[in-house]
Amino acid sequence: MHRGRRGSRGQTPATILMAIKAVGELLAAEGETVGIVVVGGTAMVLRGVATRLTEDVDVIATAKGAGGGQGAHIERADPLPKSLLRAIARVARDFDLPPDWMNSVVTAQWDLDLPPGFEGRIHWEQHGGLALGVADRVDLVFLKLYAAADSEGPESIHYQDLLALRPSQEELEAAARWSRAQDTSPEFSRVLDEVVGHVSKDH
Amino acid sequence: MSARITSTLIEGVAEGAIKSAWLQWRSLGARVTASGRSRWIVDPEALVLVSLALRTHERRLWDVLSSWAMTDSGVLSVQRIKNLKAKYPNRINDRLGEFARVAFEEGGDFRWRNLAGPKPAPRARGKMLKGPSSKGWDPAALIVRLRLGLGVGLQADVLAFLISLRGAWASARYIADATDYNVYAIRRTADRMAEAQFIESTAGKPLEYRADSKAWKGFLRSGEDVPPWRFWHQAYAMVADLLDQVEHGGLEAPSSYLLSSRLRDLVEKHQDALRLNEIAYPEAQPATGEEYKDAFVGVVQNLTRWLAE
Repeated sequence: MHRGRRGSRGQTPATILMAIKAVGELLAAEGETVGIVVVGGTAMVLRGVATRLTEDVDVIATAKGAGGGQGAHIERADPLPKSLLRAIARVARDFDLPPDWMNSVVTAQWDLDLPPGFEGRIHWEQHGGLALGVADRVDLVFLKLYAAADSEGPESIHYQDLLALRPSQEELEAAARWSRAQDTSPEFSRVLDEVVGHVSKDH
Repeated sequence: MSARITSTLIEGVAEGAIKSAWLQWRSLGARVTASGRSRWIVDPEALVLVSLALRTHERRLWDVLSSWAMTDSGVLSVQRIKNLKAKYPNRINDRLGEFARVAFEEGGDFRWRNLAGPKPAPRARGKMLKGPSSKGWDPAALIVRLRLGLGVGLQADVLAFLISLRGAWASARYIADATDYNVYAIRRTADRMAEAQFIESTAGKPLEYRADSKAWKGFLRSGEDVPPWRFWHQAYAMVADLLDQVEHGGLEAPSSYLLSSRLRDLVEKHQDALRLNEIAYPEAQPATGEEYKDAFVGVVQNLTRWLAE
C-alpha cells in the first residue's frame, strides 16, 4: 500500500516525537533494548531550543552496555542494530515517513572528532526499548558551528539553528577552536570566521 | 495502556461469512435450510476453506463439509485447494487434513490421500446433505457444473470466470487473480481454448480473453444470466485470518500504536481481497500511527457490509 511521502517537507516535532516513541514500543515488543544518541534538529527540538520542522533524526552514536542509556559507552552508529532498522522501517510505513527518517549519516563525524566531553553531557530518556541520548546544547553549538562553516555559511539552516542555540561568546570561541581542528584548510577557516562574526553580530 | 479490537466487530464478519457460506452451499445443491441463494458465482475451494474456518462458529457447516467430502469431493480441485490453503491460517490446514481424510477414507477419492491428516475428523451428523444436483442447476454453481462437464482443471475455471464477466475482456493476470492458477499456465490454456473457439482472444497486445456469455448461456440452457464474479478466495482468506487473530490474541496489543501497526499488517496482507472486490480501505488517504485502528474498524465494517450484499 503506497502512500504519498512527505519527503523533504520535513516533519513536525510532534510527529517525530510520536515516531521515536513508536520505535521504542516496537523494540520493547520484540524484547530488544537499543541505545542511540541524536544530534541535529531533533536534538534541538528535544532540548527545547527549537520547534522547527525537521527532515530526519540524525543518529550520531549507538550506546552499548548498562541498558544502552546512562552509564553506557557510545560508539559509531554504523551500522545501526538490525532490530532498530526493522523498527525504523515499520514506523516509516506507519507514520508515512521517508524510509530514512532516522539515519546514521551524521555518524561520519567520528572520522574527525566529537566535541570534548560529549559523552559525559548526553541527556538520556527512555522510550520503551529505546534509550534515547540527546546531545547537550553546548555540543550542538559545536556541531552546528562546524556544519554551518562546512556548508553555505550564514545562509544555511545550520546557521539559523546556531542562532537559535544562543551560544555565549565563550561557547562560540571554544566551538570555533574545535571546528578549526576538524578542518585546517584556509578556505574553511575563512568561512568559519565569517560565521562566527555573523553570530556575534546577529544575536 | 493496552488496546484491543472488540470481538463484536469480528463477530459481525463471522455472521456475514456464515450466511454467505450457507447460501453458497445451497446454490451448490446441498440440502440446507438457508433461504435464498448465492447472487455470485461460487468458488468451491474457497467455500470449503472458509467453512472449515467457520466450523467452530457454526458446527452444522461440518455436516455439509463432511457430506461433500464423502460424496462430492470429485468436483473439487485438490491442486487448487493446496495452493489456496497457504493463504489461510495454519489451523485451517489441520482441518483441511480432516476433510481430506474423510474424502480419501470414506469417499474413496485417492486424490486427497496426500492431504489427509493424521487426526480423525470430528463426527458429523449422519445425515447425507448431498451435493451438486442434476435437477435445475443454480447459475451460481457454474464452476462445479463446468468441472463436471469438462473435467476438474484450468479449462473449466477459466471458462467460468470469463462467462461471469458477461463479455468483458480479461488479461491472464486478472484470470490468475480470480482462479489463483499460474499466469503462464492460464495463458497456455486460454490460447488453446481460443484456438478451439471456446473463447476469444485479442491475439495481440494487450493479450486478453473473453467468452461469448450469451452463446454460453444458450449452450448451458440456463434461463437466467450467470451471476457476476467475486474474488471469494481472497475475501474468505481475510475472514479466516480475522477469526484466527481473535482466537490468538492478535487483535490486542500493549499499546494503541502497536495494535494499529499489527492491524496495518493485516490489511496490507489482504489488500488484494479489498482491492479486487472493491471494498473500501485506507489507501489514498493514509491514516498514520494510532489513527489506523479506527481505519481498520472501517475496513472490517466495509467487509461485513460486502458479505451481506
